[in-house]
Amino acid sequence: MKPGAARIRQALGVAALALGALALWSVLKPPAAAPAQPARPFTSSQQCAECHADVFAEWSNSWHALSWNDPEVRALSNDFANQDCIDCHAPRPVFETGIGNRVLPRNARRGEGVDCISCHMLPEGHISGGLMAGTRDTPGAACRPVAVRDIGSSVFCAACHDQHDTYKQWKATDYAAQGIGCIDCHMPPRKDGKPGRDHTMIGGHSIELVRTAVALRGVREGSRWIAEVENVGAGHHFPTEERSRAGDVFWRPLAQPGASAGASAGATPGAWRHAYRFRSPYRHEPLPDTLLPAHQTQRIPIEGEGSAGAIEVALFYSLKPYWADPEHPDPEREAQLVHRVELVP
Amino acid sequence: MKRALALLVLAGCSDPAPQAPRVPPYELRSVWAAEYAKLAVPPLQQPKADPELTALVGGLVPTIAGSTGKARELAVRDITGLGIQVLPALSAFADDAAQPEGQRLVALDLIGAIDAPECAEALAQRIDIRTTREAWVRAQSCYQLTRQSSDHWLPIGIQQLKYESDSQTVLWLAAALAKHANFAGFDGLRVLAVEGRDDALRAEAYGMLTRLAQEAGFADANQLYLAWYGQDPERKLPHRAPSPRLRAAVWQRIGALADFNLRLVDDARFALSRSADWVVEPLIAALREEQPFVRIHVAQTLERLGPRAQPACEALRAALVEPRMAPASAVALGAIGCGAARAELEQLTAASVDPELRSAAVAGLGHLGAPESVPLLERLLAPGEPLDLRQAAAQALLARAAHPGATALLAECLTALGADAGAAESALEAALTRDAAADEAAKARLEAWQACGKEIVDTPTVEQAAVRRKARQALFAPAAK
Repeated sequence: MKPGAARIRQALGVAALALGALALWSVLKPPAAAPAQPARPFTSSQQCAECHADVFAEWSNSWHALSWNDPEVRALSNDFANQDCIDCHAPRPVFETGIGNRVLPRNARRGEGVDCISCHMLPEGHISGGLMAGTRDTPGAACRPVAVRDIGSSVFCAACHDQHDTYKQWKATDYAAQGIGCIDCHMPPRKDGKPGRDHTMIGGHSIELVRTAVALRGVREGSRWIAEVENVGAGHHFPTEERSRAGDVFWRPLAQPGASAGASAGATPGAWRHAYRFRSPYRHEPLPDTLLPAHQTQRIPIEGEGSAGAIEVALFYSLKPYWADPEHPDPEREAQLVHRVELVP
Repeated sequence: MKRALALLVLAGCSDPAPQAPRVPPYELRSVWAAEYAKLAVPPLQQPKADPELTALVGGLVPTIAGSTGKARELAVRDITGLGIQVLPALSAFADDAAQPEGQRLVALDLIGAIDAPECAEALAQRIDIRTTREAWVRAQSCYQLTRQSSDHWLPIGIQQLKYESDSQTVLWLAAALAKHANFAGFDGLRVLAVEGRDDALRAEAYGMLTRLAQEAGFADANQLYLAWYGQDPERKLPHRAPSPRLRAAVWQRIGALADFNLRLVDDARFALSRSADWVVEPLIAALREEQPFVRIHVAQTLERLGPRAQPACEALRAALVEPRMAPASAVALGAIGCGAARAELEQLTAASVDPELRSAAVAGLGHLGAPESVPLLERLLAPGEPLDLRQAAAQALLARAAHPGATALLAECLTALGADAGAAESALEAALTRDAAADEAAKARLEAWQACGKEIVDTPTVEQAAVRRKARQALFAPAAK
């Protein structure tokens, strides 16, 4: 047999196999769900609203969307003259610098804050061939989403949220060991039953969430009260992130048991007296760092005139560290009530 | 062989494929590591503590504190004559809060009297507000630094300007920096001279400004200030050649631009952008650094240096072809006043260019403020362009002069979805304030603008800010004009 003839037979065999496989695939292939849309460039999160109106609406009401225009941020950053704030308040995509690295600042569309593109856009020529990172592959969609497991990981958030050590704080908790991450509390599954997670991304601006983070109670030791604040639910310190955030414990003699804070009927309650502050100070402030780590309890002796009798103790939370009048703080006006307990001997 | 020939003929006959104009590649290398290694400055070794010297210091410092004249002079000479060997004992005494303040002050004074890099280092460590809580120690350490000839501590000192809140420390830190021809401390002195808490402090700050300016050869502090932040065309500013140790310290800061922590990055940017002009040369070199964070933040540092970084003009223009740093380079070119880059920046506003770079190019043109760019910027106000680009063009136009089209668009941006409402508000307020000086209508509108949200006593909430912006927007509605 000529060597050439063997090669021809071999080639014919391969071709027949390929044709067979093609015929089989044409019978067994799944029906196309929808005609593929052409891939298109995405330059603004507003483009995402065309297909993801509900998620876009959630995000639009989030603090991520407000990260550039929030008056508080603008005041604290000296209207972004503190340029180190820009990188995370108008970030370029996380995937551009890579998960675990920090982000770079954006020049365009700063008004959109931390937007869809910041978290979902993949760099050009990404190995997956996709344009956006998501939780499943949808090759026919215009934004070509591909499943990228790490988009839901806590280290994904670290690019910005570890600038104030929140990720490190979480890493040191039992939650991290149990696999409970950032999104489990801050991006729970959507309540309307639709797939995906809530893009409102509740956090330190939600007093309801703050209330689940800490517990307040009082114990009697001898003739005095000890207030105890326990970090029962935050997967990081209380409070965390911004150094401007503070938790303050106040007390005062009880005017009338059962009356709510600030609205005691009958006898007028006295002024709140400051007992303790949870906060990480600014660099120029000669103060200790008193943030409360996860799972830990801070015991606060209540001292001063009238402290041994019936008292009320309250934990307030504030996004700003300063009182209008530091000598006479008014927490009911300037902060939000987290918990209040009445302690009667 | 025949097949190869046929392919060659075929290739020769076919139409040539269209080719994009060739842009020379932007060469990147490990600049930081190479430059830092080249300097090869060994770290300063603080001598070990010696119990005998500790005892000597413990005995002599109280004597010095309690004596005057010859006796004091002799005791001082005894200690300072020991050189840096006595530094650990003096440092420990100065830090010992149990000792009387007057004696701790003497210990600092003795450290200042020994002119050595190790002593300058020891003093510089005591001006950090995070580690030295006692303001008098920081102020005294700054004063003692004015007696030191070493310059390697300058980046530490400049960085403290960002955080220092004690007026005496601000005064003496400015003086210590000025000794090495660095006038970054003048910002703080000017604030104290105008807003100091009392007449005495204001006079002290003013006196320090005048003295330092005169020592630098200027008739008054304003002239020096303008020369420091301008281009100093007459080269009147005193110049000091940096020591190798200071160069190393500057390269250390350049390396810190790659840090994960943005606060540390900004500290480095702050220190570098307030260094003397010679820092531009290493920054230009670092624009070729292969680590992307470093080169991008170097471009931002040059932006912050403003006109002082004009020698970086060509290097930044070359960097416009490097995609990652091009936006930062475009903004920096405008901020340093590189007029030669105007045409390139204008080209980069084309619709085919990456939106990020387009926005940066418009911001750069805004900084340049060239009248030739006005028609282009006006075209970019068109509704078909992305909102952020239109807003950037409007801000650039309004920063130059009154412009009805730009004003109308910025008023729109006060409430438009996705707009930078805060920047629109700032730009409109700045323009109203400027125009109010010469225009009665603008003055009336400024008053009405300021009246909006007057009831807000603290930082407004999101809702309050939205209400205020809507009210301010109404001032620009056709019926309100």
